[in-house]
Amino acid sequence: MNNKKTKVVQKRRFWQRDGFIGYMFILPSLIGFAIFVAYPLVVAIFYSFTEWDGLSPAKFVGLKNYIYMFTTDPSFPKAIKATFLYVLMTVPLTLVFGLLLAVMLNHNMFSVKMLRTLFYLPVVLPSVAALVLWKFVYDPSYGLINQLLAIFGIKGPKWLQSEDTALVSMAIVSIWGVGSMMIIFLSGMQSISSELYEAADVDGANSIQKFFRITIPMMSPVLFLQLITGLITAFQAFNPPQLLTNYSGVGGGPNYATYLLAYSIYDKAFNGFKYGYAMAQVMVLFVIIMIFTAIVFRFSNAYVYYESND
Amino acid sequence: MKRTMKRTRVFAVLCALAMGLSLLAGCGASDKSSDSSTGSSSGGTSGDAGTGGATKEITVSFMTWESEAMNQLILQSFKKFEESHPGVTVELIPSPLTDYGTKIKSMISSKTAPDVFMVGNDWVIQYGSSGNLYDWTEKAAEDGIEELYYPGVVENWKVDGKLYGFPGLLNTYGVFYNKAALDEAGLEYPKDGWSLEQCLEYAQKLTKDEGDKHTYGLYTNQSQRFDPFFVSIYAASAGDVPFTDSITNVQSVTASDSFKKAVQMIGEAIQNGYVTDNEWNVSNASTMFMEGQCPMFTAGQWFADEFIRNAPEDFEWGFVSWPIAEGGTRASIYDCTGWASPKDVEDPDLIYDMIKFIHTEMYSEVLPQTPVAPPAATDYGQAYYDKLVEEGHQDLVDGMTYMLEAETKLPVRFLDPFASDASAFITDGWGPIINGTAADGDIDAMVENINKAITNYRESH
Amino acid sequence: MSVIKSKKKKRFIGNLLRGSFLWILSFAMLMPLLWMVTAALKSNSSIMSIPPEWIPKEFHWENFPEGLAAVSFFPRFLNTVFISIMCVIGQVISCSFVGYALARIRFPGRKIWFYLFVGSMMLPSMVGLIPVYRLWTALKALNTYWPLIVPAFLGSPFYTFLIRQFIMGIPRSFDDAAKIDGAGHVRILFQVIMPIIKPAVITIVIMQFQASWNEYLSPLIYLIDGKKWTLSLAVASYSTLYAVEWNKFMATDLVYMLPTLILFFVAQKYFMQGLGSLTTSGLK
Repeated sequence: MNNKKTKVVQKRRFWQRDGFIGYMFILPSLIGFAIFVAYPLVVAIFYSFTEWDGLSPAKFVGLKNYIYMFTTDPSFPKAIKATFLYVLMTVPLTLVFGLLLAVMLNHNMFSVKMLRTLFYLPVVLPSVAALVLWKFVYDPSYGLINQLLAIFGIKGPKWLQSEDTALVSMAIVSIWGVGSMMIIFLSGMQSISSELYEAADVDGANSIQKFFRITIPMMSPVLFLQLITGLITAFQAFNPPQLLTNYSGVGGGPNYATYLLAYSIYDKAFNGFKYGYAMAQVMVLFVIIMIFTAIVFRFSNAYVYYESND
Repeated sequence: MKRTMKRTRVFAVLCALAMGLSLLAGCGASDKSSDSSTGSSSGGTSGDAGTGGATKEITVSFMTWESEAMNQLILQSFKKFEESHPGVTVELIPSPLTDYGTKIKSMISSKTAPDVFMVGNDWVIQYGSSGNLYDWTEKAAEDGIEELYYPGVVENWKVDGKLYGFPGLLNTYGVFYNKAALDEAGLEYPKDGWSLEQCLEYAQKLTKDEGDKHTYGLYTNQSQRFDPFFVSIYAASAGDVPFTDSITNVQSVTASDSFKKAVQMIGEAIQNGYVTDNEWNVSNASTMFMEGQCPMFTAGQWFADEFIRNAPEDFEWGFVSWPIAEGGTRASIYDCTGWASPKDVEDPDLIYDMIKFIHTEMYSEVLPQTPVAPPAATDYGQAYYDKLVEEGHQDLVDGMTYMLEAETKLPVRFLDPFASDASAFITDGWGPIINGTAADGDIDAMVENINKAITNYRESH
Repeated sequence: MSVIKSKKKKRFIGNLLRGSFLWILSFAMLMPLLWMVTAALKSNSSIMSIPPEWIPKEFHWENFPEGLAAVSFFPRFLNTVFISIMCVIGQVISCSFVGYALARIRFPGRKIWFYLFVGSMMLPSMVGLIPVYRLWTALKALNTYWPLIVPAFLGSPFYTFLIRQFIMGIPRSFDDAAKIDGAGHVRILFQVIMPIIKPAVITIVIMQFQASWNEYLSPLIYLIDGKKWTLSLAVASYSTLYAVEWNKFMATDLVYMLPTLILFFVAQKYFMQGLGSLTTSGLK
């Protein structure tokens, strides 16, 4: 017995100290950060100032890539436009839609588990398969949507095949994957203490009041987190252009209407032999993401409510 | 306490197991790789490439973007090669078509590229000039392999006179037509060398409107639509300046009067609904054609392979050359895929033999079974042509030969390293131009931008 | 009595309306998938017919076995299962350690590292592709499963974050009880914390399994041997230049997504409990 007490009082060796143990524990992430974040970032910055085809030695060209990007390249302004529109369409809509679905599925009614799974289904489908599927569905002549509209006597638009509607069509596919956000919101709602709702009932609150005064504030951290992750993911989307709007082996058509920046990076690097230029675009994308994230963070204090913790 | 201790132990054991398993996996995997595919991981041979002496054990690897079925046929065909070269095993490295480029690039950069692999013409120029491919000039000169090919083909596989790859298969582009649809409209089957004017007239006559359903007279396949390179055929055949001034090493592009005339004609046809517009893009247009929904359909001759194998019994189709200018001279697209090897290939002599084998025997054997394209080696396509005639498609043979023998050849896309920059201007504005909705000066603006991109590149390289 | 009855009635009607609406909505949303199922059963040409055939005239059940055989489904299935399980194990282990440390261990710089790790999600993932590829090439690890599995053992920002939040919701008194018995951090993590954060762990299992199952780009560039291919590559190889057999493609895809679907349905409860930890803690 006595031995135990003295053990605790003894001065701890350095490998027993929290500082050391802490760093040992986070070692995997440190290594991962070094290899997958720090190193590529430095490399990318370096290559953005070169002309490189991915194989031969890189040629240093200074700011040429950036200048070309902002002055001459016709695809870049279109990429920016497409990316911003895409993000503005998909993120808010997915958030709202996901929240509403979660609210409706937050009841213990019959078959609710089945319903939740059904809405989550699009998320489980591998994105390659989903995109190929949607390309069929969107076909103006024999695709599902226009055929259905024809039943009601409406002549459907050209969806992916027109410069005007291609981006919207792509956004719809993204919103189709609302299931993952819905599940996150749902689980968030389920951990809100029911005492709050009961107290509100006692005060005679109706459902709408309960929603806006209890659910939303309590959910605000999750909403905030989903907004950030939603933004980050949307800015980095590059599968849809390649699989939905592919013209002669290059995605992002027609007329660069769906040429998302992340896809532009891939296209310039792997189809165009312009790896250095692609890295310059990566830098631009990175800065954009950081700015948006910072803006959202800056305003988070206004609307996010944290329960006191730790 | 005891129970939790036990649980910890169990957990610890599981962790150890996990680590151990992954180690085994890693080892197992790399063992397997050293067994079967050192051809790929060391870019050449496994075992001892001993100096002379007994038969050496060698594995050579190749890679294509063909279908699984065709790959297997190719592999089978190589058995003969293995017989004539004892000790050699030929190995196939598969790749999905869509990211073939990515895969090849990463393999070359990590020096694990297959010994010989299929390439597009532009890759050979890009990778060859940057020193990543094997230089075959000497071997080819010794052997006189260049005489094998159709005129105007092999020059495009050289960079500064050095041969970095070998032409393999040529692609030709034409119009497939549904015989029943033409019969119904009372139209005679088109003959090779027909004009764009006639083609558009046919398109008009074949267009149908049944209630809500609109059938275009001419459907343009997504990759073979009226882009500047195909419109250039009209200009060149009319004796005017073509769009590009050469196939490789392009110095400038031009939109001559004939070019603009063609654009205008096509634009009108599109506006009137006779021809599908620039954005028309269907996942499997060939199936539509086989179902009888497309009276005419622009496509590469490789679609014939699918039609022959999969079309319904009663479906009758024909093929005719890509339309040229009225009364003009023969002009056609040059599009060639071939084979190349990485710079550090271990046994060039063996690979050279393999390449010759591909041209002379492999194609003769494989193509009749999947008739995809004519070989670039003139004398060795006979088996392929015979097969097509056997299937009742002399018209395909005629159309292809007509186009292959054309003196004036035009590229199907930019092949030089500035391709990406120049093509960006085409992607960014060609749609309205060909659809007939663009403003008047737009073509000139596009041409100007492309020329600027070309001069920019030429100045700094 | 009547008040309670009418309340019950209200709830019942409310549920009924809500339920019907949701079923109709889900049906509308899932129509593409339903179409996929019918396409998997049709012959290739009837997929394109106008008007579309909802119920196939002939049921081509053979699309399934043929499609699967055409891409050597079973060996690749095993490969993918192996990789996915390894990645799951890797993430669970590494993220537990890191998440625990960020939540519980007071070491200098822990807040900074937390923000750095989470912030690293902002870097477009494309950046790492070629540099990391060259790294593995130098280590002669091409055509092995190492490049696909090792990253999972290095932690992922999102899962780490999840675990950290979850642990932060556990009262420290639990830890203290163990400390009194002389437990160090390792013991606390395994004996006290792990059992409690089971929902979060299961969430990670589900999400990582799904991610590994559908991973395409990494297997593409690292796996050369056809025998080592994963299912995602196998299914993608359907798109050949000349003839695409859409019906078999759809059939194979359906089978491909089955495991992840089953996993989700079965583990739904834990999945949601795991994500519930994000409610009150957010990003701090």
